[in-house]
Amino acid sequence: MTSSNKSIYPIQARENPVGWLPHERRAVRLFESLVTRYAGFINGLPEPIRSIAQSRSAYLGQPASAAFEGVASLNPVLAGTPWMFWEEFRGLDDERFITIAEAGTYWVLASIVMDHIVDGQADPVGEVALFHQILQSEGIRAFRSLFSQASGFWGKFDALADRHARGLSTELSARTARRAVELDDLVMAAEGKVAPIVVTIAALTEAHRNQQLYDPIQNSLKNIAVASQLLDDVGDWRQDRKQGHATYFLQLLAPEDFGAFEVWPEMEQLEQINRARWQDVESLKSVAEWLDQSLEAVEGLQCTGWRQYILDYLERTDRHLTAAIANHIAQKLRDLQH
Amino acid sequence: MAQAKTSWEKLRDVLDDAKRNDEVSTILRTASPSEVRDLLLKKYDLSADEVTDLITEFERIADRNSVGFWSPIG
Repeated sequence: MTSSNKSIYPIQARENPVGWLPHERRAVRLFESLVTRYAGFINGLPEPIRSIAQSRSAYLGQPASAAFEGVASLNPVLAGTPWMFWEEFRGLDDERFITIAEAGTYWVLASIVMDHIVDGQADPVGEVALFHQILQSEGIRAFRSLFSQASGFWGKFDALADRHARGLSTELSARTARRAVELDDLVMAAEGKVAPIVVTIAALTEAHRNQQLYDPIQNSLKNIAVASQLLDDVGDWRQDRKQGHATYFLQLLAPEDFGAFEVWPEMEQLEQINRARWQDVESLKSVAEWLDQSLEAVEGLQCTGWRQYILDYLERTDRHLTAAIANHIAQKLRDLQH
Repeated sequence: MAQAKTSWEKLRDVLDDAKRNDEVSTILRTASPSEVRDLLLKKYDLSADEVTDLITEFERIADRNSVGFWSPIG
């Protein structure tokens, strides 16, 4: 082993995986078409909403001066879902496929923007709220062009819109109501956040008359959403503590006699508990289990891109787990040197 | 004859066992620092110098900021 500055531990970072987009020429052409349509939508917006839609910060929920680089720069689970399940839905004709993808993109991005509004991260909030309304209206307009009023799609759409609202409400309530945060809260909030993406799956299965795919894909998305939420909560726990955001992970870290977030435990107390219990390590193992369940839910389905996305998430989780364990061992061994 | 493991192979063994081997994981979590050092010396055939270097290496891994969380962009 060396003490030089160069690390000898070869962890391979693999950011921005691109395995989700099929190589098939038709798939690529349709995705390019979605990119063009969304760019056209933005260009057609009136000011000052166009400037909001052209800024990275509107989608990121963080201050960012950089320009939005289009649909291709988004996390693929937001607009690329139809391509992640390409083998199952490639039978749809071009126009139906791309219109569902476009409608889903508006609807999902509306939910992302709403998330930032609810979190108090939207700036300026008035313009961002108007952008949200336009995205939502565009999404509904596009879905209406596809499905008649009598279509079974709308029943699912209504249920998912309701779940989305309830999920965001649960998160707000858990964060601010000074009460214990349970696993059910985490699950409900996560399922709510992923519900707009499930709308795209509802549209694809309805248009393709392949209803039996809906439940397994929905379950897979729900499981990955819970994993994602828990992973974020593990990574952000110190920041959440500072900002007074109650989360399920903070509840797990809290002292045994601590019932709710009426009086917050001190940071050092939480650090000590984490060092003693390795709670971050335990929760990261739970994240991997939720991801495994996400993978199991789509067993037997043809969805190379989606599998690749989950596998990438598992790899990312494993790297977080490695870092957390390394930190704990280093802390313990450091005590020997003092 | 089996080749001797390199330092980083030993380090990887420690991390893998910490993830998957309940017995090792429990010792690493609950034992005193000197007991943890003894485990590393005996079970993983690390020298005292290697254990010292291991601390630096673990700190590097813990600090490595290459892993991002879910983001709407990227």
